[in-house]
Amino acid sequence: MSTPHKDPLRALGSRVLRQIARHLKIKHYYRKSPSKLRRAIHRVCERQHGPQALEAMNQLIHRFQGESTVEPQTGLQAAVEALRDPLALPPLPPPASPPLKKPLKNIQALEDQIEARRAAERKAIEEHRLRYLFSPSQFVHKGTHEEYILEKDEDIELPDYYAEQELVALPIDPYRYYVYWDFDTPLQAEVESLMKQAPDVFMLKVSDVTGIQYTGDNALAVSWEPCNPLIKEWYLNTDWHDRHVCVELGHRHAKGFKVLLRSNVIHIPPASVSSVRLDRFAEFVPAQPVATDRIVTEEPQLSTSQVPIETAAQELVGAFFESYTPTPVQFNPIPPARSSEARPVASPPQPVQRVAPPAPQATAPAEHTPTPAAPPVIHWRPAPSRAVFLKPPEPTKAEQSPEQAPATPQLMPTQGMDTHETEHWLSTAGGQHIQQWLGLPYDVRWFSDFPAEALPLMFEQWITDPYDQALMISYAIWPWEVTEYLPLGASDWTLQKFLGASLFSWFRPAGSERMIRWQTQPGGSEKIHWLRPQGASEQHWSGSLQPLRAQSAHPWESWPPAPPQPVPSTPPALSLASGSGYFRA
Amino acid sequence: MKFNFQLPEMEPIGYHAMVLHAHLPYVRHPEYDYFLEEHWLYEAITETYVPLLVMFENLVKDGIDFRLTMTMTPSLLAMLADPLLQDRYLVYIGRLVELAEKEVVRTRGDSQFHPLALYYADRFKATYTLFNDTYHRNLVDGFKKFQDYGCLEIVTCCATHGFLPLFQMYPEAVQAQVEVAAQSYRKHFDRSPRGIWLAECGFYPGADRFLKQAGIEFFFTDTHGIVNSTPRSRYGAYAPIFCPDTGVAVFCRDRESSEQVWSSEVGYPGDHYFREYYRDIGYDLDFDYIKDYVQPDGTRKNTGIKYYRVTGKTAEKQPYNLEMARQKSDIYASHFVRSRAEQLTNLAHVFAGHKPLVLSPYDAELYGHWWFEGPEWLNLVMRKAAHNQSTYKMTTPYEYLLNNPTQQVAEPSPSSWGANGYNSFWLNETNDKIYRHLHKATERMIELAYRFPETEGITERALNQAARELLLAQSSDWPFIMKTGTMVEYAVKRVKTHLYRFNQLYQGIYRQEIDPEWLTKVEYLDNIFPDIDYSVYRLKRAA
Repeated sequence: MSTPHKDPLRALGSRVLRQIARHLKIKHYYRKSPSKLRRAIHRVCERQHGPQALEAMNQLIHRFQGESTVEPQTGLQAAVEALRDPLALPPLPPPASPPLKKPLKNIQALEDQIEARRAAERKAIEEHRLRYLFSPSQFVHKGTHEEYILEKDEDIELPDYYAEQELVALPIDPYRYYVYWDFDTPLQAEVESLMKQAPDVFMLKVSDVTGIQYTGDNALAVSWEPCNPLIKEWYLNTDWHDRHVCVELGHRHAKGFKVLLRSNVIHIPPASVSSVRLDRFAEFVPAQPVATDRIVTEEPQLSTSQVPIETAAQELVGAFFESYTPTPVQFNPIPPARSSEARPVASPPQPVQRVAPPAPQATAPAEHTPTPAAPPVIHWRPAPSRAVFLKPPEPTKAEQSPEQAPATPQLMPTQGMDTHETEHWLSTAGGQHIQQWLGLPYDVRWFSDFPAEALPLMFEQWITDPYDQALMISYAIWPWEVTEYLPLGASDWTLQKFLGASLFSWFRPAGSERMIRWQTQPGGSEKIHWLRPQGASEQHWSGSLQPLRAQSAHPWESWPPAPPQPVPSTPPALSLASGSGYFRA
Repeated sequence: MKFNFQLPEMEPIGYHAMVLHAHLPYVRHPEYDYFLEEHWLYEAITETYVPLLVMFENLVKDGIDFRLTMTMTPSLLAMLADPLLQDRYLVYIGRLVELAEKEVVRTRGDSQFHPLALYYADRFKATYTLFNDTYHRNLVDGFKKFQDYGCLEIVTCCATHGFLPLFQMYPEAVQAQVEVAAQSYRKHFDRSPRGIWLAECGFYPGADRFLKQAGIEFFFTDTHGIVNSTPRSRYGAYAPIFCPDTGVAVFCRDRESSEQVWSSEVGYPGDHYFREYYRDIGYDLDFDYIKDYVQPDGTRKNTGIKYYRVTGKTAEKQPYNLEMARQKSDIYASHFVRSRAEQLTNLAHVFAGHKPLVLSPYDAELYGHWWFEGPEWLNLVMRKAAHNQSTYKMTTPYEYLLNNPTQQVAEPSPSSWGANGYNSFWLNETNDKIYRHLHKATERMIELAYRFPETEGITERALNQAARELLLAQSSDWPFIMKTGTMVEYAVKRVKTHLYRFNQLYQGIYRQEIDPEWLTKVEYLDNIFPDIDYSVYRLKRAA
């Protein structure tokens, strides 16, 4: 076999080559380079046409090159051309009738029907092309899905970084958040040179800035995380829930910590049911006019004559649904109510009489026995920004009299208070802790703090997954009594049971692959070895890999709780007690 | 024989609301004659949307005053109303009729498969007739009819299903997602949306401000959105709450009723007599026979004709039996209605004096597409809830608010309905790389909106197109696909393409060098929201 002296395929672009190859049904033509495509086309033509291979190839070239080198026309020219001869548009590939192994009876009639339908299809597509002729036609090209995916277009590649100073934090869940950052060119050079001298000085400083205007040195609590600034992204674990945090990237030096970048403030979601119980109600007033003839709120009387029903849908219903005959079965006669002693949760809570705290300088609040009454209904009015209420406002005359509730709803100023402060505030405001309400000790904030008979049986086991990653399985069996609380507040349980759709929770190391690789090197952070179950708090889980602080602060250490201290007459100022970090500010 | 059985009139002790979330990403590729991802829409029309419409028509015909809530996302509405995709759907369903007729011939004499082939042929022909002749190719009008009557409440969704918690540092971007959604809704349904389904139920405190601004009165979260609210919710997950700053109402999903349908292990769709999704003749039959009905390059795909049932965890599947599956649907519909009655009875005792609401949201495409018997089951649930019990009433969230206007004020917790309940499905090691670029483009779009308050001509066109490209790039479907691991290349390419077009427009606007021909091409390719105004990226002042 001799190679032709001058290869006619040489002059063709890769697109035409691909079209020819597609026509010849060359396998994986869309992956092949032009030289491989040329070789494959030669091979196929020689196999199919033998000595006339060159001639056949030239015919193919003529056909496909002719199609693809049509000069792009202006919209008007193309429309005129198309109106003159609409079928001159590139036709669809001819319908290939499938060679069936067994010739079937009556197949000819079917084939005719199919052919007629194909013709209609072709007509529809050509009509569509005519309709869109005024849009430039050169980009309406034929192709397949694979070509779209594999089409290499260097232009659409995005830059790795933008060389701008920024640090952005994004919340992930109550236990993790993500930050990415970028340096401008001078700062990048500075960081690189510092990394060569002292790679371990860079830190992410996480500040608890809940309810304050952060100025750089007034954080409620601070925690630190070593990082590699050149990776430019990081996953952070957190044990602060329902807090606002701000992240700063910087490096330590002899005199302290130099901040290079500061992030936006993000809100870490609460990990559990709120301990604040304060029932305030408002009334819904529809903003849009309600057309009573449309939304039927009373006794809806529907008759067929009112709605124009599509007769076709009635006639064709058998193709979709079975007919239905109602059966005279009544479900669920209402069972008698159980006694409230057996189900303490069934007793309604005490209604709230006042929603604002008394004046700080006032004497002890007068004895007030709440009488059962309907919860106060507050007609809705837009409230001012919540920042106003972070400290208890000065009381007005209206607030001091218990009968008149203020018209504007207020937010709880309990963020930043510890348990006793919150409880004091709530009791003076007429509210209750969830623990008070459930008749449990105050220190119970989680299901694991329940008395032993209410605790779930926990089974934990380390296993190895198919990828040799160590995984921990935890399986919990809850006593029946506790499930009574679930509809109201079992957020952990809800997450595991409902969102994970099983009682198993899987433990995985947190962080990207690059982070883990870096951190497991000598000198990397030790905190990488933390594992935390999805949807569980530090108290819920007593694994040996937890940081020491969490273990020593376990509430079992202080069970039973100390006798209640005399309550101070004035609510204490905001304290830092609930913010917990590795280093205090 | 028909029973004329009437239950005694009773005051319902609670309410049940079902929400179907219908969404598909905007996939429209006029530059290709055949495009695989467009078939997501065609399959959903065939298996879900048309059966739902038939169900509505016949429920009303039988005098059943049903209540159902549906989300129809702006991207889905744009696709359903697009003439190109409508034409292409006709080609698709015509092919399917053709294949089903061939199957009738091929299976002749086979007592197990022949009835099924006849059933498919009838069904596809009926779908063709309904789509083309009855609804005149536009299904949106079909749904609108039932909304106008009051049986169906359609709520909107973020414009391109953007996951708001990850754009919360750009309030303008959140405003644009909500405002454009409301505009699209007004265009299709001739009125303002009352409710919104935040994409993936992704909520962060502060998003309600933009809902209020757009005139939206309620939205949905996952269970812990209300259960973890501050202060603690008085009625758990069984009553709506109002956001403190805006008064927008929040509804959350009930886990028990969701799990009965959603769960792959204990849920109804896993029953052994239901149709197996993964055994399709597109993969099973001889290639020469099927090649005209799979992808043009010969790659096999689902055709929609499936002959086997779930059978169990085995590779050897048994033939599908239509009658048996229908009986199972009936049994499960009874079970579902009975469970709701029991659940609501218990809740009514726990919360004395309160009418509990159980809200069950599902993906609409679960019904019919993934769970073939889903529409049949839903049809029976609606009928049984109307005929067979008087414990509870079915309702829509808005109707519930009108009947029960007094509800608690509390701040919902940040949450989503994805795996783990927060943002981790849309922000993790598989897709975190895109946010740097999406945020940069968002910043640039906001900058453009403030810098060019008044423009006209080609600059205005370019600015509007930039807004479209940014919205399309922000869709939560792309990081979702990257996480699930199928079709990843497609999602990556879509994000890159939209960001590339956006960046080209950004530079062109600044340099005053916009190529009109290229702009026309991009306007034609990404033609979602033709009436968009880029000024939605300027923050409105609070009233």
